[in-house]
Amino acid sequence: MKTHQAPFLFRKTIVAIAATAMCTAAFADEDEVQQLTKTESSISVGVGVSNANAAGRSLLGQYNGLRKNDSTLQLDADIIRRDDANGTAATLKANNLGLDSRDIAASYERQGDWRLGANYSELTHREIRTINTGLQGIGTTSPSVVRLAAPGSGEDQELSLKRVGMGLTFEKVLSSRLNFEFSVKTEDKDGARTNGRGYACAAYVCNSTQTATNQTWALLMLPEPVNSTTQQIEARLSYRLNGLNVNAGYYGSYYTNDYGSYKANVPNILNNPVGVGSTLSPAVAASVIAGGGTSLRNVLQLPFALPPDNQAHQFYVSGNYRVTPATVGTFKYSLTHATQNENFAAAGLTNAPAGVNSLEGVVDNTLVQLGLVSRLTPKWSASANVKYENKDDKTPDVLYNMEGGTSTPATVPPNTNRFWYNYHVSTNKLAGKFETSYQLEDTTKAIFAVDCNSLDRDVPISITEEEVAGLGALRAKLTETNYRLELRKTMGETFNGSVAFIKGNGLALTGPACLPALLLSLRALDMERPALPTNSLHCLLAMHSP
Amino acid sequence: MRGSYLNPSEKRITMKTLKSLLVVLALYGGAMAGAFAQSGAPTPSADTERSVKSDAICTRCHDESEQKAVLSIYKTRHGVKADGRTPTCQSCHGMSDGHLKNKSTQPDVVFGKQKSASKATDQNASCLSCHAGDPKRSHWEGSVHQAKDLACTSCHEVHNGHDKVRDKKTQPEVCFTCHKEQRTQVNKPSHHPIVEGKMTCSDCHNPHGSVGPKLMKRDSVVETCYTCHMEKRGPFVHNHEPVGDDCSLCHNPHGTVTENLLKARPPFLCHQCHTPHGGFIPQVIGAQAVPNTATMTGKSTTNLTQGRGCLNCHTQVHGTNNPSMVNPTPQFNFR
Repeated sequence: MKTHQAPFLFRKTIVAIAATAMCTAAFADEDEVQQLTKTESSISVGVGVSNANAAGRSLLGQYNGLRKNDSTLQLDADIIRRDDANGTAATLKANNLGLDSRDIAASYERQGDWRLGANYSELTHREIRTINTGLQGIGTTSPSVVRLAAPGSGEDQELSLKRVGMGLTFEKVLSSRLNFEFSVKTEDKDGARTNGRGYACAAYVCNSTQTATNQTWALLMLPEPVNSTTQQIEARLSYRLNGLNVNAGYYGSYYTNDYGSYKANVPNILNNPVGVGSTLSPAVAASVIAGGGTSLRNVLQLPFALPPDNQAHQFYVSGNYRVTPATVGTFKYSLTHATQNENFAAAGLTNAPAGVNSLEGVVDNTLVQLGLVSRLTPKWSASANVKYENKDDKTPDVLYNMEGGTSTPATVPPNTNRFWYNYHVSTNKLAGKFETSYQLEDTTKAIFAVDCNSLDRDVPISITEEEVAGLGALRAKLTETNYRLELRKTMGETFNGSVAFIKGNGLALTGPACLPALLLSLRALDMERPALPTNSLHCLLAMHSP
Repeated sequence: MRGSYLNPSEKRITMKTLKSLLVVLALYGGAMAGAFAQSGAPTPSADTERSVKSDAICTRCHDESEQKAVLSIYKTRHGVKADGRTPTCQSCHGMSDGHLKNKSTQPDVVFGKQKSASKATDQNASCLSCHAGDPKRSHWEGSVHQAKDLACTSCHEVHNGHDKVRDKKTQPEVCFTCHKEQRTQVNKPSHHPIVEGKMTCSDCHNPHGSVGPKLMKRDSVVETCYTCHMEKRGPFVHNHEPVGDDCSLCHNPHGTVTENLLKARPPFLCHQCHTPHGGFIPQVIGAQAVPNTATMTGKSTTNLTQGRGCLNCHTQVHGTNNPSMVNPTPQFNFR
């Protein structure tokens, strides 16, 4: 901070303040002070010209709105009008108005009393590849595969996802102790993104013997159509009383998908890898598997399930309490109730188990957190934190998949006459942390920390199923404790370093293990804050010994 | 022939867009009209006079000639004198009696990172005397930024009319001052639109402290991701457990060189948990131990890693709500 030693110089500030105090007109020389103290607005207009074609900027143009057009209008605005007498202010901030990545936000408020805000944004994500294909109906729920006579003779397609978002916020200071906040946000997402389907005939589904005229596998590019909306609503009351700050609120989030599923129309002849038409493999007969198999063509025409509508409601209480001038406690309790009950048939998904119309999925999450931070002496601090999370998946168990019996033992699939419930897991997590630090001198601090984690999860998959599925087993239980001893030193305004010794004990299904590590880190901070990477030093050296 | 894909529903979006824009403009128009009707030549209120007079104790020396603009605090929310809560210079810097008597003595609270600055806890105490009640700061105490002695002014420029960290487009510059690894990651080919100014760090993180890991804005990684990617929440008929556990098991949200922000390219990403099937890779523990034969079952044939990816067949890796019992059954997130 620069301090002048000649306080009685005839400064413009003194003139301005004296003038304001006497309620007289400002002097002409007040301009500079005005410039420093009054809010500023700006509007910038320009024209952008890109000298490469769209394909040439496909990667960098994923999000910035400069992918398609060679010339663009650059229009930004940052406008603020403030009435200093009554504290009201209206703001308008707009970016990229001439591009399809535009956003605009406005607010009107009386500071310390109420605030109303609104925002609108568009963002298009463009797939970096241009796809040449004969596929018709991209972005719909019923695309049609059209075999091309020759590679490259189709139509170039550029997939994109467009997000249109809008939000409203309202805040009101109800009293010196009580605040209210409300926000609602909605976002529509439309377009298509890359997806596809591949299948290689299993012996009990379609004939698995590949010949020149019998195609037993296929891989199709079938973009996923997207037409969905997300909505979030949050309302919160904040109350403060002496050392207590407590917030209570509701947060609701809702997902709505206009598309429940999509399925492709596939011809029975597709080009093989060398571009020659090849007939898709037929279904195996009932003599192989009960009821017969499914032809490769029909497998490729089976519907894809798209994300179902779902919703979650969270109620929470959180805050902090200053127990003593040097000790603060933090806390949070939240209860989240999430459901998913989209009707299978309405989504275009058939062959559900008899009498089952929807998943009726219910997941309840409970979170409890308690923390305590204390400055025991001016140089000695300690903190402790514990967090408990319970995910209780109450979705009912239903036998969704039942494999039929086999007719020909020679082609027995490994999962014949087996069945699967829907897969869901409930979890308990407990995490605790204790950390204490001592300031050895102004720039050096010694830290000792212990953190513990435990996880308890019911794993419904049997070992047999795990082997069939090729799954790596999920850990049903996990307990680990880590110790850290660290010495941290600030060597300059923009340079600091630390040496740490870390030792961990993990107790999992496989038994105890230790992982001590020595960490040495040096970090240099940017004095200025550039937008692009610089050559500043930032290195981390680590030594581990098992 | 070049065509540009246009979803038929985009026409509807255009109408929705127009309506939304009209609503926003109407709201803003009304607000601006109201503001302008009340504005005009500013008339200093009693509060303004009181504050300016009070600040004059400091501004008689710390004026427009200061190297760092001091007076520009009047451009900021801390300079709205009509708000009874607005601080004076001494509210934040302390009464500083010693400094008033002797200029070579420091004010009670000196903000910044320089050696002469007050301790971070003392700087922060000054800010928290007003801001502790803010719900977004309820978990500052005990947060990693607090534990590492960050001062509010490490990120905020209180006297600046344009506080970079409160502007969506410039905020990442501030965060990347320390978080250099993330600065590199967001510039990788697959990234969230951070460098484009459409997302910013505080869309996912609460730097003032939170209950979630890594200062996540919501209580967990998944809950934070669901704020935009709610379609991954389910629950589904066939869930993929890691999806509901932690998105960052497979994705690096800051950016990667693999599409869809994946940490590694399938099939190798998938093989980190799953037994590789299809490829005869005896070097990989748990992999298929013998070469493929003509009589092997479907899941073990070489074609299943066709296109070098698992996702060509396991298309719904985030979970599928398909209840079908028709072969191939969707229990392994086939469709």
